[in-house]
Amino acid sequence: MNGAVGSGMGWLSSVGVLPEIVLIGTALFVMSTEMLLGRRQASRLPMLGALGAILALLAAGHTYRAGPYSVFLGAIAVDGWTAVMRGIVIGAGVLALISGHHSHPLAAWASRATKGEEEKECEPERDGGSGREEESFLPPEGTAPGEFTGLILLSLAGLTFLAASRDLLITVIALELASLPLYPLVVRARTRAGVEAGVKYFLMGATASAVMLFGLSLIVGVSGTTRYAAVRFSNTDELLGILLFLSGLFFKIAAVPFHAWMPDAYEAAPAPVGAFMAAAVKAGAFGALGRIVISGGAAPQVLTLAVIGLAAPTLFLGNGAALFQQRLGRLWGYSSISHTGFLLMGIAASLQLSATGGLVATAVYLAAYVPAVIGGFCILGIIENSSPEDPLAAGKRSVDRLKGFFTRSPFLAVAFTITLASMAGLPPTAGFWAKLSVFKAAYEAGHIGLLLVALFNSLMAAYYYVRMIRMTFSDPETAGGEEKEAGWRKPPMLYGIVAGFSAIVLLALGIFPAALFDPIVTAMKRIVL
Amino acid sequence: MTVTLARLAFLLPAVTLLLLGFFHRRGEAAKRVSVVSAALSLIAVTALGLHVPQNGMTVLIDANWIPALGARWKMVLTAPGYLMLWVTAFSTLLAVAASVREISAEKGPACALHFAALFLIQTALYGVFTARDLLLFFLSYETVLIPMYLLILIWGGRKRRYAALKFLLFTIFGSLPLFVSIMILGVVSARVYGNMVFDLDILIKLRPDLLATTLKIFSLPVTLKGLLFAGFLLAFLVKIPLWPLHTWLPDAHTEAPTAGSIVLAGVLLKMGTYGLAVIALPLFPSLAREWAPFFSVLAVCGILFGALASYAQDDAKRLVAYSSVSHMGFVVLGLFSFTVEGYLGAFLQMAAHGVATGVLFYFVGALYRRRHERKLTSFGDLATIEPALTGWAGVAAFASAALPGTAGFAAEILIFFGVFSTRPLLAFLVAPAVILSASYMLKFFRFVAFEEADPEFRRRWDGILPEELFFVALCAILLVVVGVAPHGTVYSWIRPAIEGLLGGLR
Repeated sequence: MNGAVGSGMGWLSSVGVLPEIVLIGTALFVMSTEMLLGRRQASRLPMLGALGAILALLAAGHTYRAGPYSVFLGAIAVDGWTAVMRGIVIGAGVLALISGHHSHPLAAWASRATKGEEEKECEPERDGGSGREEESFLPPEGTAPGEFTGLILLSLAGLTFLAASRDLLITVIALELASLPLYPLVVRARTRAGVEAGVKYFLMGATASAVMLFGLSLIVGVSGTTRYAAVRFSNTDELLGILLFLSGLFFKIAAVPFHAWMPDAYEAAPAPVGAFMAAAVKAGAFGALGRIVISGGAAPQVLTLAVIGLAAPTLFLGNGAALFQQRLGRLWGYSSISHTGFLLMGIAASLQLSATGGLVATAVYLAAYVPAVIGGFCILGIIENSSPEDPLAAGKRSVDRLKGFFTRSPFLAVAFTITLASMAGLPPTAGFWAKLSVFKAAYEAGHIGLLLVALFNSLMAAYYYVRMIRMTFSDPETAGGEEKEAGWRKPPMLYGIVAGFSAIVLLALGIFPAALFDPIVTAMKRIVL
Repeated sequence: MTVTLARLAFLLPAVTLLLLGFFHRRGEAAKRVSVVSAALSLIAVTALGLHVPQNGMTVLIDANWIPALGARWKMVLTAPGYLMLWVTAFSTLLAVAASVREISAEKGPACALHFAALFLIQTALYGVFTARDLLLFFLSYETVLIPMYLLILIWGGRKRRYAALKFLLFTIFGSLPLFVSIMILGVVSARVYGNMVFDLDILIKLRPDLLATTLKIFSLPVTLKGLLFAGFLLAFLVKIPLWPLHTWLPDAHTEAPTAGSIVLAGVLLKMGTYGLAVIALPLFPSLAREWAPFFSVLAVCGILFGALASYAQDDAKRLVAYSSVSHMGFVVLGLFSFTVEGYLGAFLQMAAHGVATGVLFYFVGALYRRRHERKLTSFGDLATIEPALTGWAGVAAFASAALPGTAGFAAEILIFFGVFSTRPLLAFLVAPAVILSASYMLKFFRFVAFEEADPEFRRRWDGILPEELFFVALCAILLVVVGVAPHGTVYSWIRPAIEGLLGGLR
C-alpha cells in the first residue's frame, strides 16, 4: 500500500470504491444525456455504458493491486474476494450491455401486442412481411436505451458493493440499489406477461427485503452493531436474525423455496435483461454470501445444515422441473435454479472448511457459469425474435423453436452446443472445471450425501441440455417450412457476437483452465478477514 | 524428432477441425480437405512408429497445466499406446473415406460439421492414448461424447434419436463415477504430498488400493478404495462394453452412420479397454486381483452371449455390432488373467478388432449405400456380381471370426493360453465361442455373397468404386500379415512395455 501511494496515480488506488464511482458516474451521465440526444445517437448509449463498465473493471484491478485493505472504517473491504466478484459481476454487465445495444426487439412486439391482441387470434398467418423487416431491431419509440444502460449500471454498482460490504446495513442498501433498477427492466417489454412477471418480482422482492430488514433489526437489537464480524452465531436470536437476513439473499439467487419469481421473470424479460439477472445478479448475491462466510466468523453446524437443506431441494426442483419443461424461457429459468443449487454446495463447503477453500469453488463456478448463461440468453433471444411468429403468443415459446437452428445459423448452433455442454458440465468446457471444483469442495467438507445428490442431478441436467442440443440439430419443422424460411430474420448481430464470444471463452477456459483457477486462487489469498 | 513428429500428427486433426469452419458453404472442398488431412495424419503416425520406445515411454510434452489443481499437460508415447494411435489414424481415414461417399455435399454446413466431428473425435482419441495425467485423460475421454452423439443423431438411421440418447446417457452414467474417483484420488494425494497430483506415474506409486479410509455414505460404511476402483471400472466397462452393460452398443452401432460405426467400434470401445489396462488395473493391482474372477466370468458371459446374439440377428450391422460385444469380452478376459500372454493377446485383439470391425462396417456401409436396407436377406450373390470385393471382404470377415492365419486368431489363442494358465475352467467355457464366431460370420458371408441375390440389390448395384476395393483389400492384407507373423509385426514391439505394465501389477 505504501508503494502505491508513492507512484503517480497512487492516490486513486486508495479510493477503494473507485469502480463503483465510475459505474454510478457513467450511469448518471448516460441517463442525463439521453434526453439531449437524437434517437440515433441515443441508441449508442449502451456501448458507452459498456465502455464505462470496462473502465470500472480496470479500476477494480487497480484498487486490487494496491493490496487488501478496507475503507469507510472497515465497512467496505477491498480485497481478493471483492476483486474476483467485481470482475465476474462487471464482466457480466459488460456482456449484457453489449447485447443490449441496438436491440430492444421485444418492445417492438410489445407495441404491436397492445395494439391488436385480438387481431393475432383471428389471423394467425400474417405474412412475415417486409414492414417488420424494417423495424426489426432498431429501438422503437419509447424504449430509451439510455434508461436501460443507466439502470443496468446502477444495478451493477449495487451488486459490486454486495461483495465488498462487511456491514449488514450496507449490504441491505446495496441489495436495494441492485434490485430497484431491475423491476423496471423486467417490465421493459410492456406485455401482459412482462408486467405480470415484473409485479410478481417486485412484490416478492419487497417482501424479501422486509424479512431481511427484520432479521437485521434482530441482530442489531441484540448485539448493538451492524458489523458481520460482531455477529455471534451462538446466540439464538442472532442466529435467527442472520437466517432471516440471508433469506433476502436466497431470494435473489432463487434458491428453493424462494424461487417462484424466476421462471416468470426469465421468460418475460428481454434477453439482455434476462442475461443480466441470471448472471450478474446471481453472482452479486453470491458475493454477499461469500463475504458473510469470510467475515462472519466460525459458523455453527446448523447454518451449514440450513445451506445444505436449501441446496438439495434447489437442485432437485430446478432439474426436475426443467426435465419436463416445454417452454424455452422457463426451461432456462429452471436450469438456472439448479445452478444455484450447485453454487450453494460451494457455500456450504466453505462454511465447513476454511472460508477460502469453498469460496474458490464458488467463484470458479460463477466465472464459468456467467459466460454460459449470457451466451445462452443471447441465443434464446435470437431464436425467439428471429422467426416471424409472435414470440409472445401462447405456445410459440416451446423448445420446438430450436428446431432447424443449425441449418439457419450453423456457427451459432455450434456456439450454443458449446454453451449447453458447459452448462451440463461436459468437458472440454469451463463448466466441467466448475463442477469439478464444487464437487471437490463438497467432498473435502465431508458432504458426501450432498455430493451424491449433485451427481444424480448432473445426470438429470445432462438429459435436458442434450435434449436442447438435439433440437438445435434436428430438421426444421416441415409444415410450412418454406414460409418460415422466408420469414426468418437475420439475427441481431450483437447477440450473435456475444454468444460466439462466450462460447469461445468457455472452450478456451475448458482447455486451459489455469486461466480460470489461478487468478481466483491467488486473489483468495489476499483477503481482509 | 519424435516429439516434433508427434505434435505434427496430433495438431493436424485439430487444425483441420478449425479449417473446416471456412468450408461450411462448400461441401466438396470440405471433403477434399478431410481426405488429405486424414491421410497425412495416418502417414505421420505411421512414421512416428519408427520412434516408438521399446520399453518405458517417450515424454512428448510435460507442462504445467493447472497449477491450482496440480494437473499437468503430460502426454507420453508408449508402445501399447502407439498401437492404438495407429488404429485411430487408420479408422479415421476409413471413416472419412466412407463419409465422402455417404454424406451429401449439398448441405454445406452439415457436411463440414460431419467431418469436423470426426476430427474432433480423432484429436480427443490421440489425447486419450497418450495422456499420462488423469485429468487430461478424462478431458480427452469425455470430449469424444458430444461429437459422437451428433454423428449418430444427425446422420443415423431410423431410430437414431433413441440410439444417440442411449449412448450418451449410458456413457455419462459411467463417467460421472470416474470423474468423482479421479477427483477423490487428487484429494487423497494432497494429503500425502501437500498438493494435489494427477500424474498417473506418481499416483500409481501412491498405491491407492492400500488406502484404509472408510467413508460414511448415508451412515453406511464403505471402503474408499473399493469406491474409487468401482468408479474407474464402471466407466471403462460401460465403454468396452462388458456384458451386461452393453445394451447401448447394438443400438448405437446399428443406427450410427458408417463413419460413426467405424470409429465407435474401431477405437471408441478401445478407450475402455485401454483405460482398464493402463489406468484402472495399475492403480489398484491388489483389488483388481481380488475382483478378477467376477469380471472374468462376466467377460465369458459376454463372449458367449455376444456370439449367440450375433448369430440370431438378421440385420447386417446389428450382427457385426453384437460380434463386437463378444470380441471385446476376450480383451477383458485377457486383461484380467494378469499374464503376459493374456495382455499381449488383449492388445493385439484391440488392434485387430479395430481394423477388422472397421472394415466390416465399411463394407456393410458400401452395400447399404446402394440398397438402403440392412436386412441380410436384402443382399446376396455378391460373389458373382463383384468377385474381387467379395474375396477380400471374405478374408476380413474370417479375420473377424479369428480363423487361423489371421490377426484375430493370433490374439485370441494367446488370450486362451493366458486364461488357461490361470483359470482353466473359464478357458473350457469360452471354447465354444470359436465355433459360434465362425458360425455367425459364415452366416453373414453366406447371405451377402452366396444366397440368391435380392433382385432389388442386383438392380441397384452400380459397380464398385476403386477406393472401396483398395480399403477392403488393404485391411484384409494387414490382418493376414499380422496373423501370419504376429511376433514380428506386433508382439516383439509391445512385449517389453507389456511386461513393464504387468510388473507393476505384481
